[in-house]
Amino acid sequence: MIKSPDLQYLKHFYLFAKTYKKTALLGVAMMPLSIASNLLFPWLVIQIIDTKLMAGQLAGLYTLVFWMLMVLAVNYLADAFYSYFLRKTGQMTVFDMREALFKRILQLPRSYFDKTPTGVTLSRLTSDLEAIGEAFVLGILSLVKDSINTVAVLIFMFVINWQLTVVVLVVFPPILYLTHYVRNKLRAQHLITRSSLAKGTGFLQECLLGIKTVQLYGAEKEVENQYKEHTTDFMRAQLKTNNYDAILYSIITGITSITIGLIIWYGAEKILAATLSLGVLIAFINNLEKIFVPLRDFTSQITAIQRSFAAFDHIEELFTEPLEEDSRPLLGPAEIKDSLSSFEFLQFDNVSFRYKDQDPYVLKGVSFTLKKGEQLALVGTTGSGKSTILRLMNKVYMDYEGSILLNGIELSQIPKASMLHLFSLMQQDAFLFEENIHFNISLGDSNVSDEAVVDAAHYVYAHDFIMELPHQYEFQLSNSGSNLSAGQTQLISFARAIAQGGQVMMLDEATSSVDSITEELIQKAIGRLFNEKTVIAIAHRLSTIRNSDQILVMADGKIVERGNHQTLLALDGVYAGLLQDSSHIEDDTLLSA
Amino acid sequence: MTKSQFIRHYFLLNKYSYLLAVVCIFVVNWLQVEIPRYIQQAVDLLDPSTGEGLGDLLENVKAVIALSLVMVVVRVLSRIYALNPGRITEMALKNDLFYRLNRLPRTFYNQYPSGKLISIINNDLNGVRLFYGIGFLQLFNIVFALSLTPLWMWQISPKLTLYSIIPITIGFVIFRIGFRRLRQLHKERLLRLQDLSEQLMNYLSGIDLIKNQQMGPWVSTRIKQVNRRLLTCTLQIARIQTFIMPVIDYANHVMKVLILGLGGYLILQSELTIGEITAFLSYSVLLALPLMSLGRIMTVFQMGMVSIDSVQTILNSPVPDQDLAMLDSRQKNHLTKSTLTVRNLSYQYPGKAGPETALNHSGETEPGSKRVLDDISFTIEPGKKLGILGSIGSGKTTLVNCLNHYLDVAPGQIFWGQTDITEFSRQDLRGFIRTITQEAYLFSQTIEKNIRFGSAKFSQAPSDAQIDQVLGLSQLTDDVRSFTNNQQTIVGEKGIMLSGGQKQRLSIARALLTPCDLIIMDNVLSAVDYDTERKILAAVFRHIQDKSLLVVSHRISALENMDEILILAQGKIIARGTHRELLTTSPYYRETWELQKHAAQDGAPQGLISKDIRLETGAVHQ
Repeated sequence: MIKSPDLQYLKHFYLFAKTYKKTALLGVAMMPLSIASNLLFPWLVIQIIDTKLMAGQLAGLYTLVFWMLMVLAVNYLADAFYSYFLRKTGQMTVFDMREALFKRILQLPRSYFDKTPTGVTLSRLTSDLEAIGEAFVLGILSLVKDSINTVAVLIFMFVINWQLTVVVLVVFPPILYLTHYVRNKLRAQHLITRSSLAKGTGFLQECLLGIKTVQLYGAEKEVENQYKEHTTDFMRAQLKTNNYDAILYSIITGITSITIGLIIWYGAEKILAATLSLGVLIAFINNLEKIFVPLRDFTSQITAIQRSFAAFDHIEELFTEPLEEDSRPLLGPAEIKDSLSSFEFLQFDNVSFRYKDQDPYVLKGVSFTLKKGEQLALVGTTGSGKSTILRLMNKVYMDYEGSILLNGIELSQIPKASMLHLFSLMQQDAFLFEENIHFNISLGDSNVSDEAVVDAAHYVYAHDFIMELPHQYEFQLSNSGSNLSAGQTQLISFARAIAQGGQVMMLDEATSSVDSITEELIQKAIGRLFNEKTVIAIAHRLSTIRNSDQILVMADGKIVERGNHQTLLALDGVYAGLLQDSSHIEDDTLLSA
Repeated sequence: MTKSQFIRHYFLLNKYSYLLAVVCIFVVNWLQVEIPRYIQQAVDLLDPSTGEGLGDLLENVKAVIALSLVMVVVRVLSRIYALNPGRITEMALKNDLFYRLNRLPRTFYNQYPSGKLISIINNDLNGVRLFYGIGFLQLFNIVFALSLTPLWMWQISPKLTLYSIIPITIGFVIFRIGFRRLRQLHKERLLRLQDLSEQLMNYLSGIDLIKNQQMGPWVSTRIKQVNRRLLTCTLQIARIQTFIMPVIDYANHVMKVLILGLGGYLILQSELTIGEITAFLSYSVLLALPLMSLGRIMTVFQMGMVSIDSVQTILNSPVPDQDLAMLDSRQKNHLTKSTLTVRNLSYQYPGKAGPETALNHSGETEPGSKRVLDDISFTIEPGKKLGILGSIGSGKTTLVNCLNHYLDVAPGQIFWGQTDITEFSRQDLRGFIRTITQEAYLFSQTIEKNIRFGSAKFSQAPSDAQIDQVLGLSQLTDDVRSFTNNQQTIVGEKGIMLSGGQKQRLSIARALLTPCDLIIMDNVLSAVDYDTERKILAAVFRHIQDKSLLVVSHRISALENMDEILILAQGKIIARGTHRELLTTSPYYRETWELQKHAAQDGAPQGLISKDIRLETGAVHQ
């Protein structure tokens, strides 16, 4: 049933749950009360019938009734507190786990995010934890309570009258066998349902996304017939499931009355011979439900719990995923001292890099130096390695070959936290928080004053358009900034980079076209940066390239040409060819690439 | 279709099953109250004071067991007949929805993103299924149980019935209040969970910036806040579920105590027998169960109504009348091999409400209000090959989408033969005119199935040899041979396993497989090199000699051999003629031709910068 390797998954759950030991213990302490009152009730029923009703004695009847009500009250409270405290423990644990996992995710290396789609990470934090909170916590709670109660009731019945209990137990094996058999059938059908549903939904999704193709090819009937196959498969499996369900449900509800018949049959002679009291018989009749209903739920509870193990498995993966700076030899603050307080130079020396061990190299022996006050432009096709250079500088990826020196210190030995203040990144697809503009520029950093925010916006020519927005700097962004234009988004990200006060501006210039007015502002802002700051830029615009001290032309991970605009033109090589080609042809692919 | 029509329509789909279900449900409920009567008689015969009637007792016991067995069988039937229609309705509705979705025009899809449509079909249909299945079963269960049980109880003792109903009624009222609150809380919890997901998704997509700017603590506190709100709500739910909901169970127990207490008094007064008390105890359970499901069934009905509403947003969206009326074969024959005539075609996209306020400052005109096509006229006689040249934004793709009636064009502008294309169904029109779109859309099936896509409507399925042939025509034979599973290779979602050029060529093969009168190729060769382009075009020309062809491109090499070439700029035709004529009459054409010739000879047409670098126009002239 529950396999031992599964229990290892619970390790982390247990670690987090330990904090709430007291609450859990309170809940567990209710258990004996609940069991005792659960058994006292039928015992009192027997007493009432045998000593009062059958004996024809009215005296003391109402005392017994009073005690029964008391027992019910205790049972209610004990049950309620048991469930509540333990559920609370479970939910608090899930709450803490979610928080801890999220913090952990923030420290995972880029390579994790490369190999894991965001949707998967999201579902770990939401649906998997939900499964633990619902299926696991609730499943265990009711399973434990139900099985202890059932066993207790059986023992109680056995003590009161073992012969009658044996009659009841006779019914057990066939019922257990039947539930087991039907559950197996159901499981097989569930597999079919799930796969046919997934196939159907997938197909539907494809057709809806490609509805234009479907309609242009007049393939409506064709796809409808295919979809009908999926829905029919699904329905057939569902109908079978339903039939098995109906059989299981009906037999379990019917078995109670059948057993009642058997008990009376067997008990009749004993009662007439006065070896069995009528009270016991009636108590037995009334207690049967308490045994058979948990029996029905037993297998489904176990399946639910087992399903939650898949969620535990996923969570465990996240807990064991190595962190970014795990097991890397890093220099301590004492060794770095003030050497990184300002930017002096950055030197790539024969740097090669690949994303994964078996992958081809994306950088092959790249060497260059960026000195304070210089502007460097990277030029080349997609996949030529430009972005990788920026990523290595930012320590987004760390396992490079060769040497990258920042102010003379090997970059791989510098803790991320002590070098990131030197760089400000201006991204192509700037990420915006769903907060106001002010926040998106200051990023909530209390060191950035209100004036600094406005100054930064002024610096990149964003101030004017911000002032025209409703609420100006308090303008609330929605849906990752979809209520701003693409160009405005870029300007905000420029302002952000300025406000963060980094000494080296890393510019990933956008290729997408924006409206002409914003375009002009972007040009002016970039022009200003190139005049006043240390810049390393992935460049797409001629003006950007022209104004830089150094241009590196990249192709296939290598620097194929280097120099400034004039010398490269004079060289009449790749760079010059590129200029000619691109300035003439103005066509769809070119612009949309 | 109104809501009640809808409900009736799908209800009648399974009317016999429902009819049988009602009969079975009644029998089950009748047996449920009848069996305790035999138990009662058996127990009464057990009274040791009488000491006889063991034979009668056995009769009663046998009746209990026999009736129980019958009840098991009938209950199985009742659940099958009542619950299966839910599944059948679900399937029928899915197919009906898909039928409608396939015929709804572009304007509908602009309004409803496909994610929303899929969520309707996946989630809302559950509500409908429950409504037509479990909702029906429980409704009749409750009606029969709550009418039969009190009646049988009354027959035993009216007094005891009245008293014992008190606790269960109070219990039910509390249960009901708790249930309502619980539903609110569940809804709220769902919203909070959604908040959490959105917030997480948001931060995860900005993970690079967050890490780079070391904003970890800030986002963690934000997440903690939403997480905390979710926890609070979850605990509120737990409180109600553990403290309020079980009240009805205990009310049932209190009822038993009352029966024993009051009933005991009545026994001692000889007004009741011990057997009758036993029967009463059984009835008390039969009364509590339907009351508990009463709360649930109301939810099922409410949810069902909401689901039906959202399903109806699809079912009630209008499909243009002419799209539902298909041509008969005589009309079709009449229209085959017709001339496509475009007469003074103008088009502008339907104006939308002004874009985001943030954009307006730039003083741009609203994108919707501009004429994208302006006074276009041309004809394509059967067998004619027409080319259209134009740069980005010249209106090429819009023109294509007008010709195949993807966009809603006004009547009187485009004719197929003598017939206005707005007067017959799009599905028929597209039997004559086949468009190969710029963005090739493929299904995650095998290469062969993708090629066969759209061919099922032809009476004769294309042979394997025909597939090989079109693969050859579109220069795909070698590519396909290099895949491990050849034609049976699965191309992945949207054809992700294939390169852009392979996708385009596959979509060409798909379009060539079955016959049609006019093929429109909208810029489909942009991702293949000049050499392959030439080969494909030559093959297409050979393959469809007598058919018409319209090629839209920004590459002159693709258009050189056309019977006529139109040059489109800003929605207008600025020049027309053959290649030879245009070289002399259109400076634009000539200039473009020379530039492209140069690029083609270099053999590096998609050069380094051209893909990635955008330089200002005129930079070279500086």
